Amino acid sequence: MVLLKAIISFFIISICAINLSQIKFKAVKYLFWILSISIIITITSFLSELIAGIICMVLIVIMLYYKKKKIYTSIFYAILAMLLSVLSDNIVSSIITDGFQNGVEIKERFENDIVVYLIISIFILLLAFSISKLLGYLINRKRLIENVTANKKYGLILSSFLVLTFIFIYASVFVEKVSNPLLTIGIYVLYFLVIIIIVYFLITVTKKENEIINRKKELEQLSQYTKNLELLYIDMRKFRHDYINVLAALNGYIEDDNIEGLTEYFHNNIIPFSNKVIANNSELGLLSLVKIPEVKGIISLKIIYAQEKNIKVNIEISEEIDEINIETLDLCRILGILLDNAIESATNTENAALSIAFINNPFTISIVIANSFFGEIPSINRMFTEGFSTKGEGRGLGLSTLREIVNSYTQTTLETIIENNEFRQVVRIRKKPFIVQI
Amino acid sequence: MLDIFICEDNKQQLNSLIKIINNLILFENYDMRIKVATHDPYEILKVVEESNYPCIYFIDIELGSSINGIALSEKIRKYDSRGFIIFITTHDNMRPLTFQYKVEALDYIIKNNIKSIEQRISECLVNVLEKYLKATHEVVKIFHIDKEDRTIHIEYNQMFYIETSATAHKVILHANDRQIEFYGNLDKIIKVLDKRFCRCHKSFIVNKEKIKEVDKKNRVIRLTNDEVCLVSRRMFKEIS
Repeated sequence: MVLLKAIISFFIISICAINLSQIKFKAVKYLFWILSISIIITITSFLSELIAGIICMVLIVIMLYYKKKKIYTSIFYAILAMLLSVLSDNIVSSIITDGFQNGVEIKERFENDIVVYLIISIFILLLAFSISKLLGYLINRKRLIENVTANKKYGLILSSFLVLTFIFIYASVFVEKVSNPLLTIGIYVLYFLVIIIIVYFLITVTKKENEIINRKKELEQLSQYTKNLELLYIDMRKFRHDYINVLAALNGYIEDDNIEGLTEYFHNNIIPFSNKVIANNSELGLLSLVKIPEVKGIISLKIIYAQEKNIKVNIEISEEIDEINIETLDLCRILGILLDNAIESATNTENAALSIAFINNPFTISIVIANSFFGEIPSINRMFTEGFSTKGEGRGLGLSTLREIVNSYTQTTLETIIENNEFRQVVRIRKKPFIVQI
Repeated sequence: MLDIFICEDNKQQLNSLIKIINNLILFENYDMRIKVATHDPYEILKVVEESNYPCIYFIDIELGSSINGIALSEKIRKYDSRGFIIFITTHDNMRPLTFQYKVEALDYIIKNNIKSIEQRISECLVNVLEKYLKATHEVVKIFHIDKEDRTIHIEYNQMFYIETSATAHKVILHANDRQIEFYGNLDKIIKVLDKRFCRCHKSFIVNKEKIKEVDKKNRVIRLTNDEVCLVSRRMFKEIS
């Protein structure tokens, strides 16, 4: 009887595990596993049920590892399978005890009568089989587990969480038999403590991951910036080349005393050339004064974007900006929102222009962003309402997010001005947090 | 009498500036005079220390000295916080936002040809006079804040309402074409303002001249620009 019980429960768990992991066994090999493991379990279950359960788990893990060669994945599937079989066992037995009038009686017979036991076991098996098949399909369709456990940290966290749950369930069953309330409470408390620790780890791991992603972004922006500087350099070399050619041509006219030709040349070639020199402003060069790489990155990116849209960009930075007293990430969000809005509303205007200025005053650093606009500007108040946008629905989160970020610091203030056909926003950041003077 | 200071390192340009400004004063009969015209910023500073404020300053950006025009203006601002600074600059050094936000410059003039400089100087002087008369004769009342490196001038009749910000110690002034956030508290601000303003709620000061309607049911005031202020029960009578 004990042997039968052991075989059946092991059979259910292993079926679950196979369904979940969607690995394939040959029938003969599978039978060999079942039989050999069942015998081991039977022997141990004479000693202690608790040990038998644990050994059962370990063996299933070994079985999966034999096929998958991945330890975390195997642990994960084995424990999930165990949980599933316990779940279906509980569902079926509670249906029997509550659903039938003589349910309790049946349950008692279930413990002793082989036929009843077998019938009920088949139900449990069917339930566990279908749940695990479904779950296995869901999990494997997107290769969820493999993706998660590929990262060692996540794998460790996930499997230790499941191991913990497994231990918890086993312990609570065991404690029920002993029926010591203090022990029960102890186990619950321990369980939750450990869960809190796991969640804490999870949070720190995700935080680190995010940092890495941000760094990557930053690097991309910086490399874009360098690329543009290189382009600028190439432009300079071209200019030098042109300049020397122009001088040579002038020299030619002078040596020939050809004043008429010289005049013509001057008007036709040199004046347009000098206009080009004025227009070709090396705005990006000024960014070298900004010593915060993230800020440099985001501004250069947006400037290039604006120039592609034929917006004339004017940058004013007269002093080095090496420290701004808010989180860099928030600063970048602020700049991103302001510049995106400015570019968006400057596009398609006549003489499209965008100005960016960093101004270093004794108490504050001001960031001014101004742009030309076209048509009616709605009331400033409405602009800051969530969901409002002149660009259509679902895009109005920018300015309300900006307001939120500014509000989250005591040292930042925001100013919005519409003047002379120009829309201007000023973010002022105090170098020290604001202290009330009494 | 408004005193004019000129600082320009190029001797020729300095002379032509003096000529243009003197001619304008003569023709338009302005109550102004050139007090100092020099290439040396430190000479300006020496005289500014003991002058009648406000004054008018025409300053070149590149001064060929240890300080440039902007730094000179910053120093001037310490004495004459309401003076009228006008920068004279080449195209390369033109930084309008910096002029405005760093030293509250009134305007800037780009050096290209003499004719347009003359025109622009004339415009600037008209502008200065208008602002100066407004401020001294109080035809229009002006809300004025000058704290740390922040100055705000705004006419009372441009202001709609002031509300407390979501963060402590910050308030937001809503005006015709601007929305300005600054450090302050409504208790102190209401004392400065005149009778047309009313503390209608613990976190609102409203300009009574801008009220379109009072919504008793929702207990709010609708303003002429369609913005909305809250009203406390206590203040209802005073408003309506």
